[in-house]
Amino acid sequence: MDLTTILQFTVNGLFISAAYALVALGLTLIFGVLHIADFAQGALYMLGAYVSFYATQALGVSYFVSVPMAMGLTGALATLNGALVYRPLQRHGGALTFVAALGILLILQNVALWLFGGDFRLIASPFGEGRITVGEVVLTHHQAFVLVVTALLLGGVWMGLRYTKPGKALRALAQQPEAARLVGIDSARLGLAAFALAGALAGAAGALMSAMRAFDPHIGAVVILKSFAIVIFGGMGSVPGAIVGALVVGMAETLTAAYLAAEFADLVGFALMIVILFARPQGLLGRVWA
Amino acid sequence: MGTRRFALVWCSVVLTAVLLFAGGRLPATGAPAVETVTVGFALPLSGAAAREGQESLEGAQLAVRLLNEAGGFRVGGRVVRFEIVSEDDRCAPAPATEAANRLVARQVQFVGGSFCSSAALAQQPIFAQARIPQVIYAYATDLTGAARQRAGAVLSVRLGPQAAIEMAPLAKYAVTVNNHRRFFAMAQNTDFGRSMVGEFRSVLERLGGRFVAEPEFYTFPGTTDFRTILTKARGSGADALVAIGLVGEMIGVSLQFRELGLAMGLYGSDLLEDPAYQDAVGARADGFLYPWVYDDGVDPRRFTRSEPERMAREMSLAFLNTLRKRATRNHGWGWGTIHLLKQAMEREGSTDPERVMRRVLSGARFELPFGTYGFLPCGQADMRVGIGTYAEGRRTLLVDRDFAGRPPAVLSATDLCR
Amino acid sequence: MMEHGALRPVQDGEPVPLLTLQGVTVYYGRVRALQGLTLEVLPGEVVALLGGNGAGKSTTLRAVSGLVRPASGHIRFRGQELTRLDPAAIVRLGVAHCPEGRKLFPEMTVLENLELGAYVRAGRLDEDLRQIFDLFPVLRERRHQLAGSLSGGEQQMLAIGRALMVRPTLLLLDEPTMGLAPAMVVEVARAIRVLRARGTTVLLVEQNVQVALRLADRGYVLENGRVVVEGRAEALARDDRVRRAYLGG
Ligand SMILES: Nc1ncnc2c1ncn2[C@@H]1O[C@H](COP(=O)(O)OP(=O)(O)OP(=O)(O)O)[C@@H](O)[C@H]1O
Ligand SMILES: [Mg+2]
Repeated sequence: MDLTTILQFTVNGLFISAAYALVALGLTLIFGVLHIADFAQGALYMLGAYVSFYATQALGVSYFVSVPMAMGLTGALATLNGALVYRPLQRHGGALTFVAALGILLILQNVALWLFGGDFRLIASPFGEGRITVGEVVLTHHQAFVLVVTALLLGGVWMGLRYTKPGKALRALAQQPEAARLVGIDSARLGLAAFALAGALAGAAGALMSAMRAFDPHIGAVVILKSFAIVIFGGMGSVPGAIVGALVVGMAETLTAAYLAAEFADLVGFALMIVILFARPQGLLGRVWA
Repeated sequence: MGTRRFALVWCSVVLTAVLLFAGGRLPATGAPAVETVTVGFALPLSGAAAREGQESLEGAQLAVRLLNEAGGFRVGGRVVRFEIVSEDDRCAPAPATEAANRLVARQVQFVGGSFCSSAALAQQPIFAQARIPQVIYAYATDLTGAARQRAGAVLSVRLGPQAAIEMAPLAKYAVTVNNHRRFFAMAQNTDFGRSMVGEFRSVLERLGGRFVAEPEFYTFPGTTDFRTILTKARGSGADALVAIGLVGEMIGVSLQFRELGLAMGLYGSDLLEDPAYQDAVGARADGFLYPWVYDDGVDPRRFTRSEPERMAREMSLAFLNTLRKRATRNHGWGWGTIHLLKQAMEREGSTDPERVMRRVLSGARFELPFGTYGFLPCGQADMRVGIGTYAEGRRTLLVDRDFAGRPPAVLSATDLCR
Repeated sequence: MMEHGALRPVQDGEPVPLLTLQGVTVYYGRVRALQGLTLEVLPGEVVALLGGNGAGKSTTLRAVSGLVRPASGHIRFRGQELTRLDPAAIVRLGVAHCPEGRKLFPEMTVLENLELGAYVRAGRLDEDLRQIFDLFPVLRERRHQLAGSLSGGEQQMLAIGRALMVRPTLLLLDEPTMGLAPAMVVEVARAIRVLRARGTTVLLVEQNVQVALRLADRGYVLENGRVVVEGRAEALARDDRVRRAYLGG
């Protein structure tokens, strides 16, 4: 295969990875801080897509405004889930929150089905058909926009965790919850902040990706499975692990489809994860401290 | 007539009327007797094909509602009314098996569905064993072939097209009209996807065309990004792409096909005629080709047909008048099931499932949403499809249902019962 | 609840206690870890909590810092009831808890660990950091190193340093010499003496009774969640029961 085709595959893989990374990052934050496998994030991805769709179609809001709107709403919803469902359940153990997470996913899915119907929707991209073409390599303006926004969001979260006081407190809480309480970190409030952040990221992913992919209320369940696998693969609770994991899995899938066959794409993705987990049970970038 | 006798007659009339409105079963004493026939639907009501399943059910519900509002219909000396129950098969074998077992337990007399090939294949032996006739919608060839024989499902029929009925004329159109001979194929990795691609390939090769590479089968459900497959297609040197998937997938394939600037033809299944597809893709689908199954006579066409499809129009009007929406092919599955059973019962003068199905399989023609046709001994509807395209975002019918049979004929009744 | 010294009649010349525990009972599920424990700590004192494994020493500290909530009893700090406050509120009052097993933030640098120690405080930290680095010079060298990669002794110094970032009036120290080499034990003991000289009040849990009684003014011996012996450090060191139980004869 020629160079342009290879470059095109790389662009495709990068783009798939972007969606995985946004959702996986939120999941890993929640898992790291609260030890909850929040499958309901899938529903927030789906709702993000619907918020952007209706804001642009029905309210005539600009797409660029609809994305933060989606993030705000899904962030708020995630916070509510955290406060009203997960927190009361958490003291009864992890299995309960897991069941609750699946429950919320299904409930939100059905509420969406009832509210919006089962029809496929597509958000109209403000960039229309615009595209950047280098030789035969095509990157639509919308894709470029999505990649840039994803990079900004990932970079922003990364910097925030690294350099801001609430960010450091979140990391502290994830690494050593008891000491975090002892230095005066309010674990309940920060836990909710983690939910809000993760929800907003999932909502952003939904609103960003759904301008080129048809979606219906079931889209979230599909997205969340792969993203959760990536979180395990990258290292539960590891932020760089989620991002690197998304890239590795997105690229592995793309290259398998490209050079082997599409039907093996998922297989190779999951096989790679299993192999790496054999060698490193803590995940690609997960760490074990005594 | 004595007053006592008059009172008795009067009472039975009132009783009949009351029971008619209540929709209950009438004890054998009333005249004329009312019989309720229960039709169970095994459909994907949630999951990836939920919309298709829901619409199928909606078609059946509206058909039943209108029939019952008109007081039912007469079979022999009795009035028959339908009652519908449904189970969600989630478009997958395991839940489909459970759904089928539940319908058997609920003692339904007939079954409609499934819409999905893998689900229908799982259900066929169960309904065969329970001797419940199954009216199938899915396209996998086996459902009226090897699988039906293995299951001994002699009472099952397929209401509409099978893969060959859709793909034979499409491949023929590609080669003989568009001169597209070298194809790249992609499809969802399901019985449906594989059957469709297989049938397309066999006619394509018979007419001197070929696949330039092995078909790409992507994961179903869950694939939303087709760019890598499309990039492969772009570099494959093919004249055209044949792509088989459900509506959501076809929207993604079509948009990403345009986005990547593929300069080739695109051929799909009849899901391309779905209104949801049309809404999402619009004029970006111009020039794409697909089998035309459901024809209510409204869309522009490039030929004239002597005989309008009456049942399609009737269903279309019913949806507009009662539900204020445009009917789709999917509504036709449920609606067609009810009307096939009704017509067969009326002609047979019985509601006995085995007798009704013997009538369906007798070769007699029935008026259905996808045309007027009979059923072959293997259970396959002996029907044909036309070919449609999009022009300026409008569905446009290019050739009529007789296209596959015109010389060089690519499809005969014997091809349908292999 | 805010009046000072309202707990009991204050005798003339007797100092007002900084911390008082009165009849404190704590359960972990069904396990009763403390049974009506009573003790007090006067300002400026170093008080040792002694006792065997599972006696309830750590639980006592955890009750003071709000990590566990007593089922009954009172804990008063400068006269203020702590039992209904959460850990964040208690640390704001100037009670710092350096927990058993150090509990550092392993994937954060030494500096970040120290900064988080001052989480509830606004304002500049330069002066606090300077003091801690003067106390434990090795931490200054390692300030950009991840806490998880420090040696055991260095980790213990960092844990104490993190607690000091609170500028505590009362420092709760849980087994600061556990698992340390003798040289390191000496180092930690020196630091505690420095703190004491600066006027920090210390409630010290130690398995190493000799070290503890050399550092402390007074001590309490716990058994099964109760105080069984209490007294001046020198007296305890001579007490037969203590000698038999903890000093190996
Ligand atoms: N989280 C917990 N859950 C249940 N029981 C606990 C818990 N923590 C401590 N206990 C029990 O409470 C009692 C007191 O424990 P504590 O940790 O206070 O003892 P300690 O004096 O600090 O012992 P050590 O010297 O071993 O550290 C013990 O019986 C212990 O088993
Ligand atoms: Mg202890």
